Amino acid sequence: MNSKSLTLAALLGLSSFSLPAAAPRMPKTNLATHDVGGNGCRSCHAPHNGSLANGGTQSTGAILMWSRSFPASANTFLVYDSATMANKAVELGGTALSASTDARMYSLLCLSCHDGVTSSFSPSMQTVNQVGSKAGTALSLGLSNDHPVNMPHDPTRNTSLQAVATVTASLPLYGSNNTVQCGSCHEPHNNGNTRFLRQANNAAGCTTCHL
Amino acid sequence: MKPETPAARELNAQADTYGFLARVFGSHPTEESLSTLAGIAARLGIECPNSLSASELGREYTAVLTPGPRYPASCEPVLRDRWTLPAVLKRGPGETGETTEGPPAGEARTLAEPGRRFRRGHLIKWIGDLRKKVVERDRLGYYRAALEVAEAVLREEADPVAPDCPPARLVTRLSQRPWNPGGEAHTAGHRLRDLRTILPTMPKLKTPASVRGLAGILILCVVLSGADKQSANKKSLPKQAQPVSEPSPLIWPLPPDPPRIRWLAQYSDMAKVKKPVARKPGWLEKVTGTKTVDEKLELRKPYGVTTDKRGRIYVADTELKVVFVIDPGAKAVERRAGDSRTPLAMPVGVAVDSDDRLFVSDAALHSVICFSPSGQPIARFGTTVLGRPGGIVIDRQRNRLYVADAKEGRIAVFDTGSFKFLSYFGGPSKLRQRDNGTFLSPTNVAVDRQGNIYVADTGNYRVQILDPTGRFLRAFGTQGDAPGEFIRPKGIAVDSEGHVYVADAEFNNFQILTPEGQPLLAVGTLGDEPGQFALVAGLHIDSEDQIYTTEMFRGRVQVFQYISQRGSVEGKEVNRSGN
Repeated sequence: MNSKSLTLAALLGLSSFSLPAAAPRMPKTNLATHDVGGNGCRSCHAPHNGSLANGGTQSTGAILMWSRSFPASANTFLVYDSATMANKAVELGGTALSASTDARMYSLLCLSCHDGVTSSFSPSMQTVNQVGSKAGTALSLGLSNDHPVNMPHDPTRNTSLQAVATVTASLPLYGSNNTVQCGSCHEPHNNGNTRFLRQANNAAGCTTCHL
Repeated sequence: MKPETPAARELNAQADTYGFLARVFGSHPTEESLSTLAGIAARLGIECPNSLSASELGREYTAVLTPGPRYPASCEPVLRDRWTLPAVLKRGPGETGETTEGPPAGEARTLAEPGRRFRRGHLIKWIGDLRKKVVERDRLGYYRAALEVAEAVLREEADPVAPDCPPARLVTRLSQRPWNPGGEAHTAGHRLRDLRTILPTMPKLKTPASVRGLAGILILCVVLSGADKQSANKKSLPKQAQPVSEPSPLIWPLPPDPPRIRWLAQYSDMAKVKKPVARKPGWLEKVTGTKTVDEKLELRKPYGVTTDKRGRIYVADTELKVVFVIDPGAKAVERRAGDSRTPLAMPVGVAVDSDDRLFVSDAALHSVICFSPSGQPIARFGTTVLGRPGGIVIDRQRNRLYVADAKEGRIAVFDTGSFKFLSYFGGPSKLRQRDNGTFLSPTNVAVDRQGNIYVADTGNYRVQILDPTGRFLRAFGTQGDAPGEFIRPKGIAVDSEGHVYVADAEFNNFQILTPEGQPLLAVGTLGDEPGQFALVAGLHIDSEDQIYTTEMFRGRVQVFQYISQRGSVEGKEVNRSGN
């Protein structure tokens, strides 16, 4: 290493001390039961373990031995990742998958644990939730009377709904057609309102979306 | 992203088109692809860098252009770079004709070389389109068809009648190619038809005869569901039935590696299945004389899956509260729902013993229900010892039933003859501890030929292996996104050669690992096409090494075949990672 790069390194080091980067914006956390087994963030978020495939320090050093012809850089799973997850497309029941951006990924992450079967937690996974299907009909097999996952919030079709902007002022809607996903009502990092709700479970909570 | 190496930068600058093709063909080079590649390079007037083999080129480009570590879709060499975006070449200011999407500015720049523009653009566009059409159905077919298209486009280029290759004309010509006769927009049905058109022209794949027979049977069975619908209404083609007469060309990994897994069949929407006449005819049927009823059976939220000696597939549907019994040979579907006294409430795990008795774990009833081979519930047990039973498995040599208890964090052991509870294996992990032999939400369990017990320790992101006495043998896996790591390991099974298969609901694939945890292969990605998964849950392997998976999102069972490479030179598992 020559002196120039040493100086540069020193400068960089100094600057990082004198100008500390702004702390990343973290959601207020109160993980409660989402701190599964004391794993903290790792209960849901998988770190990249810097494996060989990532080009980082080798941890497992594992590559797929039956598939050696793949470039090593491609040997890592694409998993939950805020930057890329919306690029993975899936639909809640129903029609074909498309390669388009799909907000439903946000719910899939929840459902990989809350499958209603092996989790001790309650919400059932809904395989069908068609727009406009009534609560408890045979179509939805009684599961869509709550948890309107993947329902577009569309005041033009249902005039008893608040305007989209009114909702999104306090609750997130996902995707281009403003669908309700798990994260619309739930903040999985904060159980302050119990049941990981974004808002207190009272009458005011209703009127955020409903007129 | 990795920094661009000087060699790679040079290659990038030198050959856009060639680079693309090199990545397509070079990822899995064969003699055919290499010679084609050389030919294309020569015709484009691009100097082929002899210092690098095509496969190295492929790696180089992937390393440079892939915008971050990715897992390739269904283990194919995905072309995740600027070319694979649905971007069509941007038109120049003076051009007329149909409008196309313009790529981002950066792409336009890279393609903006005058004269070469449309040729390259259309080459890329059409290869990209072709990929979309057939990639999930037939990866090898895609590869071969891509070759064909590339050559066709280059022939067009060489055509003295159309020296400038007017884009509209190229589009017209290419859209009239056999795999898209009408030039229509592509739907699932068209893809299917395309595949049928393309497949017979392709060189035959080498397939073990046994696999071919099995695949034939299974696919035949699946066909029944969709056939009438397809002819009646093209637009509402069911996505499940892919009636190809030849074995599915969907294999993992791709050549040149020897194939290990072949996709066989899938079951989801079993519409128009004749309802079996096992039950007593009601008054209506007595009046009308109907013996069978057309009934729409569809899997809604399947979890556990298993098979019996006769090859029937048992699928527990937790939402419909039934266990479907799919008989591929007889093309029949039955249901087990319990009787009126103890109806199933949430069937999760299924297992069949050597007498074809069916055991079903029910998470809501906190118990296991045993059905006679004819479908009568004959026992319900475990209520006092089970918290939330999940996957179950039967050790037929020891007549034991193992039940993964997700709530209590342990494995409950029962005798399949007397239904008596024998013991617990393991116990719940303490907070922030991952002690060997303790479990956090174990969801599924499997046994190998020696009777060792494999537990998907979901909450601890690992697989634990116990001996038949419940003693801890070993564990592998940690939380992470690299091969051999897990996030939500669920279904688990062991094949006849001892490979461990673990389905992961977050990766939406199943990984194949050695008994020690060395990952060998991963199959699948998120999606609903064959070979893809949407919330994969249960996994089972039968005595023929056929792999059955369930998906809770799509309501689907998929069947794969493990292709043993034992005895072949290529099948050596040693020294495969050195290069």
